Amino acid sequence: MTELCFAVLASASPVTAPVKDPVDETDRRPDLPWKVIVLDDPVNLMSYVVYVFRKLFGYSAAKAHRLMMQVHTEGRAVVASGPLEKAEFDAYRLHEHGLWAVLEQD
Amino acid sequence: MARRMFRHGPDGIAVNLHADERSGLATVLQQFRDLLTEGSDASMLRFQPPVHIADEKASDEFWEMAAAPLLKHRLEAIDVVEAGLAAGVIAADAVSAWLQTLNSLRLYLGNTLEVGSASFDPADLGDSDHDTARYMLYEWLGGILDQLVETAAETLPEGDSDELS
Repeated sequence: MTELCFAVLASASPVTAPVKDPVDETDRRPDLPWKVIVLDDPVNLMSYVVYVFRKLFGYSAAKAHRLMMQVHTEGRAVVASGPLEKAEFDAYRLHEHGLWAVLEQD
Repeated sequence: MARRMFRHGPDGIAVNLHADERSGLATVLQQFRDLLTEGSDASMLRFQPPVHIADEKASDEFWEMAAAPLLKHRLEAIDVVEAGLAAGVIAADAVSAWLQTLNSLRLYLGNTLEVGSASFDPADLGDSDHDTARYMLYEWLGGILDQLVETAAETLPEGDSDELS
């Protein structure tokens, strides 16, 4: 630890955040539920992602681990679903925790 | 055996960081606070990525509503971590702030270093490169975060839901 330099954030060079290519445009259907999808991120720790899934959604450790592994291996996993308002709230909570959540309608 | 940096105690989770680690983390927290409030660093875009990936307008509307409260939340979380660092203990209601802040710091550093790119190799950073220091900090934060997750998970209620929320 003695070699660590903590004064490194101030001069960090900016890079462009990863951006996913947009998918086909679809019209919103109020009668259809929205899927809350977590995208893979090479930075987030696996243990942290499992913890967040357990905490936010009350999933069992096994379920949270399965979802985390799906994100890791397939690049994305549906972690919740529901009406738009609930889906956006779930997405907000996931972003609050640093996970990249996106919304898609069924 | 690795030093255990967090341990449950009577007042919450005791923080077992060396003095130089505590002061170093405090320095980083202040820098991160400045980055969040200035908002001019392109790497901060990771904190507001597209949410409606098929609908840019809807994404913009989402962040018009969410950006301010999320920024406020992140700044308050930094305050909470600073208080916990000074007290040497993480109260039960402060655990989330610690986890989120440590993870945010890693997200920022990881994105500036582009650790997710296929060409990224820590061996290429060099001995004196500024990026080496950032990468060491990124790794150190990962170690702290992993230990705190492990400690916090010990008291997380065992969820029983196997159905989607």
